[in-house]
Amino acid sequence: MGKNKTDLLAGTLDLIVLKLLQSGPANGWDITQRIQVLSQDILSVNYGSLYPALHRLEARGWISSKWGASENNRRAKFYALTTAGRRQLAAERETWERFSTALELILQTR
Amino acid sequence: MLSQLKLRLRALFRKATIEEELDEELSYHLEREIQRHIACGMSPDEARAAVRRGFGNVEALKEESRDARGTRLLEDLGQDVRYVIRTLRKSPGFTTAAVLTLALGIGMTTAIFSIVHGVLLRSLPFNEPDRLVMLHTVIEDQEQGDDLLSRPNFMSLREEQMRSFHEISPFEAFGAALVGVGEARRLEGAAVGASFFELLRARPVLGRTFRHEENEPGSERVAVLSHVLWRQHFGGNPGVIGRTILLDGTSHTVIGVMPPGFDFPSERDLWVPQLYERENYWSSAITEGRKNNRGLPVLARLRAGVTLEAARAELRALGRRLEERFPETNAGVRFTARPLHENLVGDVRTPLLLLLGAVGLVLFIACANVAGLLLARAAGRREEVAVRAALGARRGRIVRQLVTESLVLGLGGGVLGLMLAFWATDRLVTMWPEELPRLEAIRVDGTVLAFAFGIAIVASVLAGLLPAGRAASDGLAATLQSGGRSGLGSQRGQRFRSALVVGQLALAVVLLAGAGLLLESCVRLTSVDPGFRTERILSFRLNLPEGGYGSNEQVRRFFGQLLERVEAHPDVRSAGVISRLPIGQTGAFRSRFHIEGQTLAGEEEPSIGARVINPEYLQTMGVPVLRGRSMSQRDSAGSPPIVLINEAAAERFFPSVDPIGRRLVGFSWDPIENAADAFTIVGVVADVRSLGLEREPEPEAYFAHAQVPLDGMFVIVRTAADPLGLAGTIRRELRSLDSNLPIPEFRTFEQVVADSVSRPRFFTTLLSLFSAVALVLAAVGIFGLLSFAVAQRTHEIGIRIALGASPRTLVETVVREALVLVVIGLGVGTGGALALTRLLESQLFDVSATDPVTFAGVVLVLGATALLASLVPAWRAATVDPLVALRTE
Repeated sequence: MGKNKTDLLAGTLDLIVLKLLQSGPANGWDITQRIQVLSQDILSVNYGSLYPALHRLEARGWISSKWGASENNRRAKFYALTTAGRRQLAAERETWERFSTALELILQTR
Repeated sequence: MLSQLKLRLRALFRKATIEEELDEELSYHLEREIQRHIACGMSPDEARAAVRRGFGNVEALKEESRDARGTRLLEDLGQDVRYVIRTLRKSPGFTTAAVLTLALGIGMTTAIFSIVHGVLLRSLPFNEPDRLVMLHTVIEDQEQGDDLLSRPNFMSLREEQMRSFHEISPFEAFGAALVGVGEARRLEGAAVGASFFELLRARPVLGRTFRHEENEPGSERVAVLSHVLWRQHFGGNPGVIGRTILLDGTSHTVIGVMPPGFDFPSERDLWVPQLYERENYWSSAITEGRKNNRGLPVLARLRAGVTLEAARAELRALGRRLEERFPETNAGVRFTARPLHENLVGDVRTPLLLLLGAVGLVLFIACANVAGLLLARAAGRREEVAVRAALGARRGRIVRQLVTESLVLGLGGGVLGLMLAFWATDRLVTMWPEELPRLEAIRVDGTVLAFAFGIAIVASVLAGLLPAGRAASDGLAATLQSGGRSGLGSQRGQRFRSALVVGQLALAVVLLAGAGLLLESCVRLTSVDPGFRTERILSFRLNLPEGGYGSNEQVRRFFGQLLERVEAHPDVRSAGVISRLPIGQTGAFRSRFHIEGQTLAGEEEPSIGARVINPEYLQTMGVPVLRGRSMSQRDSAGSPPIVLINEAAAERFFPSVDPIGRRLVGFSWDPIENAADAFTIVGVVADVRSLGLEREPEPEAYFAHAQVPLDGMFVIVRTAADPLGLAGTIRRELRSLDSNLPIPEFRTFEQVVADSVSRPRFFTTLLSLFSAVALVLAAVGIFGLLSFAVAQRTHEIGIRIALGASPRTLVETVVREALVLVVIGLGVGTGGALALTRLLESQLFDVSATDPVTFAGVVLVLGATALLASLVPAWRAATVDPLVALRTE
């Protein structure tokens, strides 16, 4: 198994996936690419964590999946955010922001 | 939510599709990665290799994705079950042995449980049955108290308007001849209060039940029919309502028909109102009636919210009030209530629970056997387990799979056992002694099914968990290193095996000891000399209906004619009559009496069992007269009243004087009281075990039928040939004497005696069967475990032989090891048996619960069996070929 450049913090992968799906359906490979690009190559997610995460989110009803044609016209599975997923994204985002603010405050003390 | 459910269901049932989709999804991902690498300038081959490297273990990834679907456990289970069935099919010998053993244990336990459930646990088929109670008389400061109520006391309680009960109603069994509808037939009925049906919350399917005024003497006689009688005898014709039927010569109007299944008291053909006659029920002047004859069964229903304790307190208080009102008769008399169910079940509770316990022990032995089998199997599969662990199977998963195996075996055993239980329950019900209660409630139903599968699962987990745990905890590396040799041959495995042997033996000792004691007791019981002749004697009961036999003279003439005709037959040696058969019936009529001219010494009035006979009876039954004279034809209605007493009575009441010539007076039993004031003792006859083989003879008196006429008598015929061969002749004679008489049931006296011990015989048979099964199972189990132990040590034994050990030493070594276990097992078992057979005490006759002979026998039988079982493995050890042994593995 390959090493990430920076390991993802536990629990953040779900948030990232939900956020990336907010702008529209995407397949697994797209998601890995977009994580890499958007994080300017700092984060790289291994598909070994991504697919289980996708299946888990689907099992919880936050995302749904559908087979469709990819940009190169291959059959690929596209994941889309559900209404419940939207709510979950908002909740997780808020949690994360509170957490990062708190962390920032602590780190800034001298 | 719904979409999630759909997803899971899909995951479970469309597994193949899902797996394909997962593959496709991943391969798409792979493809895109490779394309990306190529776009970055790699050659296609390099790109593929790089991606493969990065991809790592695809299977592990799939596994994780599957986990995320949340159906992992079920999928694994399905996989485990399929795997188990596949491997079980590969070892049919093991599978058959394990399933059959479990089936035997489960089947027997379920069969007994279905009986216990039916008799003891299933509620009565009445509305709110636990609120139904029966009323009893108890004497203060006395332990005994199975007495029912006397009629006057019943009436006093009824008048009291008790707070605890809605209504109380007597129900008294009677027999009557039904004449005029088809063949004359004897019916069993119950005389009940008007509130009886309401108490049981039973409604008729046709017509109505009784009104209160119908309990009063002088009202029109009415009857309610059972569904069975209505169908069988009246063709199920609804027009039967309003019809008049003749019961013992008295006409009754049919007013109702009860629904099918209404059966209380059991096996009644019809119900009539109890007549609350003044002379029986009301008059406080008939002190005897209030004091004695406490034989009226009374049913009551607790009011809502009233506890049994509260009802008992009220009854106690009422008892004190009645004592004040009737100090002469009710001194110390109290009343109490007992649940109806307890009353119906009575004394079969203990034997049934004992049987259930015993069969439970058999189940344990069966489990131990299967545990032994699984252990041996697990040892054989150590390498397989080790390889699976090496390939990444987690420990929990391996244990789970091994437990799945025993569960599959258990369920197989359960299904087979259930079939056995169906069959066995049927057989048991046909073997069931007639007098045992609640037979109709016995059947295999949902609860019994649930029980069977419950114990199947418990049994298989019991049998499988330990070996599974052991197998999985065996060091993986150690197993692979040793080439599968050490492992279960280790000390812990050894100890577990030893525990199984000891446990099986101990349980078998307990069972065999119990069965042995019961057998011994049964043998002693059936070899008791009843004091009379039982062979080649035919008996039947005749009840002359009141109509046509109203006068004593008519009754006398009828029996005289009948006996004359019967005795005229060349095959008949002699014939007599008696009011109640010895042994065959529950007790004689007991009657209080005094000895004339003797003031009462004690506080308790003496009582005596009263039987009415004719002069030929004693001779027919072979009961000798010890002193004085026998009864003769001259003791007729006109001559001075006489009585014969038995030896027990002579010893009890005339310890120091000659009873001959003394007079007995003041009998409380109506027929005697009405016949004469005083009876002169003319002879003493030998004791007979008239109350049952297990009961010591009690004081009894024999009155002359000529002087104390009764219209219901048993006829006893001693024959030269097969007694039942005479039944046809007697039937014809009865027909020609009175074609309206119901045809009686003929039984040989040997049958009567056999029936009287049918219950102990039944329980003994069952317990013997259980212990035989236990013995075989234990022997097989010990044999299996020792064989396995020897097989495990083949290598070691080979070395020993190679080093010069003689076969004899080897046999000795193995047998000695077995012997140690056998001795421990027998010791533990004997200790347990000594503690447990005490529970049997009430079921034993003339045998102590710790009978040393029985115990010694059991230890001997089991010890010998166990040693025999160890000899074969020992011999096998001795004949091991060292070359082969050293080459194994």
